[in-house]
Amino acid sequence: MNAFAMPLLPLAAALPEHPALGESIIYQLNGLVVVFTALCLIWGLLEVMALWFKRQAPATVRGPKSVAAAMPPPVANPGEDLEPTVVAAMAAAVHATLGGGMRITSIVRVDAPDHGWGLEGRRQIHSARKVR
Amino acid sequence: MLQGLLDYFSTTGFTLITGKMLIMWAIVAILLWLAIAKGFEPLLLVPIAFGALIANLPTRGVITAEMKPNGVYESATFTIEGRPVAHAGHIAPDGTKHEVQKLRVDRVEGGLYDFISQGIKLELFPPLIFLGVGALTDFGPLIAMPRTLLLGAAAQLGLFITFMGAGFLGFTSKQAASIGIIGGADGPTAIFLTNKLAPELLGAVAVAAYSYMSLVPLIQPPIMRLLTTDKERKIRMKSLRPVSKLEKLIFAVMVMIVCILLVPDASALIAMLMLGNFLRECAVTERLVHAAQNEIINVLTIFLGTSVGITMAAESFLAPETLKIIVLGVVAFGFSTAGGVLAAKLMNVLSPKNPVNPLIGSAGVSAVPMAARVSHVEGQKYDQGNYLLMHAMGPNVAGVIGTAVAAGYFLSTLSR
Repeated sequence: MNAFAMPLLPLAAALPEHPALGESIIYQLNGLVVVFTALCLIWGLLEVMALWFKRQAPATVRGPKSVAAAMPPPVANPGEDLEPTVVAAMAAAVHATLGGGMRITSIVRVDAPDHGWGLEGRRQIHSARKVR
Repeated sequence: MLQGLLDYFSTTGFTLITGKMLIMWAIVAILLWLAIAKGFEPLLLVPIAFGALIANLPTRGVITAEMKPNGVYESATFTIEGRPVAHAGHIAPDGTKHEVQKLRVDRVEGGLYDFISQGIKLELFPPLIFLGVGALTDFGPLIAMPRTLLLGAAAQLGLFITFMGAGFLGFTSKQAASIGIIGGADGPTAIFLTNKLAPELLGAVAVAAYSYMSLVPLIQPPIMRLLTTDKERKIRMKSLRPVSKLEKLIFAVMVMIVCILLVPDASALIAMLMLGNFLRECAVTERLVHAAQNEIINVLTIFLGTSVGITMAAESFLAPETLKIIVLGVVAFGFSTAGGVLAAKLMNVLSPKNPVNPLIGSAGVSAVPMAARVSHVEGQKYDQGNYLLMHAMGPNVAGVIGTAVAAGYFLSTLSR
């Protein structure tokens, strides 16, 4: 038997099959104390853990400044006449939404006239599927 | 020829149908209607109802059941035929001699559910379902706002108050604990506890627990409105901080250790819950997580549901005690909801600078995620732009832990 169960046993032995009101109230209060103790202990440990992790957090926030410089430059497909500022804005959006480690390898206009058939095919495939 | 047909008719099940069975068919129809037409917890109510239908048909080869002289209805027992073979004294490591009887098993006789139901009798299904629950649960909101653990603890109030109420109605301590646990709104835990303390009430307790879990959107809102003001319902809470993977991993291990040390009798539930969650958060066991979240929990849900339903034979279910349990179940649910809401209000008094919306207190009952959704929907009725769902998930998952701890307390104090 686990030693931690020991304090509860005298109570178990004392609780009859049909306890009186006083016994029942004490039993309930003991139960609530056990539940609150367990969850408050976890709460306390989580607060300690949060303190430690919050202290670590600024170091990771500072990181991206140098990471941004190390990121590979976005590359537009040959033949695309996009302004460098547009490409930079796209790269920034990708970085902001998806985080570091992403790289834009191609940028293609989907509204070009030669993509019309492809777009129509895609539209038909999507419209043929039921959204659940 | 006519005599032959009459002889055959006497072997069919028609002659064995009783009036009580017909009443149970009506109850089954209501449960199926709630599950299918109303969408109330269909994943569990459908198997339970179907199991109840099987239990109230004159089946053969499904389950063995009999009414004992002491009035206890016992089901799911099988017989083993065997012959003793040569046996010898066995010396234990401490030097004492024990007699060991060896038996050659020739035949094991029992119906399908005599064996499947052992998953409940041997306490296998509820912990394994907790494995799946852990794999499906994100404890992030709780880790980000750990003070909501208090709401999960306060929402266990109904368990203990109902314990007293059940005592007044003539139930024994063990039965009262099994009925009180309904207030925790945690089906597997209710089954786990009832099977150990009062197996004769298993069917009624399980049906009450799952029915009320499904009725959370109807039961909780009036209590929430009664105990809160308009101003309180419009409280907007601060955004939750992001929680790292390492924090979630440490949390799973830490909660398991703390709970097992405090209430060793809840070990099976807590250990499997946190194993499932650890598998999920470590992100390197995708196949195992997928199995726990899908195949394991789905298969077990079918077996658990039908095994519970099959205990609802008319002889045991149509008793005054069942009606009392149904009434006490609502009381337990109501007090648990009120306990959570009042605890949130108390927290606001003690910490007015960083208030919590009291509507999330009701999510401390562990019907995940339905209770959290009810808090969110109720909050949006008074402030369209108030998103309480993630905040309510904190007390909601805290309630799962709280109910398991409460079950452990009942087991520690009553099962010996």
